Amino acid sequence: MDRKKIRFGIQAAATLLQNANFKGFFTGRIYEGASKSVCVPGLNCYSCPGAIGSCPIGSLQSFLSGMKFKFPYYVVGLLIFFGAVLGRAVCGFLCPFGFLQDLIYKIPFYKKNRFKIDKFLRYLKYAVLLVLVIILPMTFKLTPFFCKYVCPDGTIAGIMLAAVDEKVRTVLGPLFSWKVILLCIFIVLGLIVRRPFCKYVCPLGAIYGFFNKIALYRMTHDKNKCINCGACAKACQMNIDPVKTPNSMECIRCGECVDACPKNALHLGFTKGKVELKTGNIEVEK
Amino acid sequence: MKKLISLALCGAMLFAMASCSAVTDETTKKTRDTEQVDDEDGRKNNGDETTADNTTVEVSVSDTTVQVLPTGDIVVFSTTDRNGQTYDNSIFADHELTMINFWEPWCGPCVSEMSDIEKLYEDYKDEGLLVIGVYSETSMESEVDDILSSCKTSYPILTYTIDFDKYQTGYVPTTIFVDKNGNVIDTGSSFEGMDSTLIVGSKSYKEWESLVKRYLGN
Repeated sequence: MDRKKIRFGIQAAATLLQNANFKGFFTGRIYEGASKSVCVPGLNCYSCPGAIGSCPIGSLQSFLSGMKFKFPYYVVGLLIFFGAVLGRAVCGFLCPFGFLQDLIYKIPFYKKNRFKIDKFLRYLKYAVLLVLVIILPMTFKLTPFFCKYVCPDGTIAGIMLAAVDEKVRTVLGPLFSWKVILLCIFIVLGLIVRRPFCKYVCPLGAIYGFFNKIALYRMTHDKNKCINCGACAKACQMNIDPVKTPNSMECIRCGECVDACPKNALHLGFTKGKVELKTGNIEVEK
Repeated sequence: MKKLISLALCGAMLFAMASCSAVTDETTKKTRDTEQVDDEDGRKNNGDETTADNTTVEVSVSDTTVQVLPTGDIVVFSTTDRNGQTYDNSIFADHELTMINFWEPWCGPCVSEMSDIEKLYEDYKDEGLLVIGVYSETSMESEVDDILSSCKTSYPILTYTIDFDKYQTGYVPTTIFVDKNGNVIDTGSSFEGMDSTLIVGSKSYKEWESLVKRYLGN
């Protein structure tokens, strides 16, 4: 099994597992069991008819926008846990919306990942996190701004609910139209650019990005094996140069650079790789 | 092969988007567990929140069902308000029109329409309007206190009972109108032939007023 197939399998399994309430897709009733109070690692809308867990970004806003302010220890703790263990491997392996974008990108179309404003647009997700997820919900109570006005994952959930529940259809209005337009923009953009939502908008990716440098699941680059051919940077659709920044905040751990390396100089995995690198360095110092 | 699968999946998604199948409500009979207290964490991820003008809906956490009500269904209930005073369906007889508003303290659209509903109650109570607010989230009493005092709510606020199960849609706010004889009023704003006794979503003062005026006979 090659890496691509394994990753595809994990993504599909994670998506199905996190949305295992299949009955909901036909009844339009969201699942309300005990597991719903647990956050899933990826961006998976609580209101998806299949969802058996809750979205960490939604939960975060839910706490921050509460009538009485309560620090969301539980959500923040889980985010730190997922971040410390996996970092943005969550994005590459477990996130259903990331999986959807990967699938969309597979559709043959005009592809362009490198363009000028890409670098600046990357900062947008930090603004989204700060403003839409933290500041606005805390200021205006009971309104999860990111979920309400932006999140395309929620739009998909809304569409699925509306498809089977007439009650939902009666109240679809301008806000829904706006969100469908936004979803369509992400889908069309996703045909051209790899994972545009993850790159520019996702507040969850922004949070996990901070952990990439310290997460247990990490990338190591062996200078002794590297021949500076640049194959890895060329293969990277998140526009990272793994030689310079193997643990970049933008890396979703897809491992396509590892496969592209002709000399096996890149390694992706839990701490094991780190030990190898250390011994490698010691040898160089000798 | 992989391309084929991905195309099929994307196709399925587009299909799901395009379809507006009128699957009739499958009444999976479940009773609302008033004791069920989820952590608030996941409660309000209302990504599917939708609005039409001033109408907003939030997915409710309550485990409930949609039931097609035969018009003329008589509402029977008995529960208490927050001070323990008992209320039951005999209250309908004393009022021309009763509006029962199901809300929750974590629901933004519910809370934001409550001051309008209070105003509506103040303006029309002399003409025979009674408003009853019903919530089930008993684990958020201090939030409820805050909301009621900031909305200056003077109409009765009752605790949820399973008697109300058949008027739940899975969404809050949901509102029903009941006449003097205890019949649920079909407001007639029916959509694709669906039952229109249960009003889903919040409304503006004007929208509520026009409904109230219609059934108060003005």
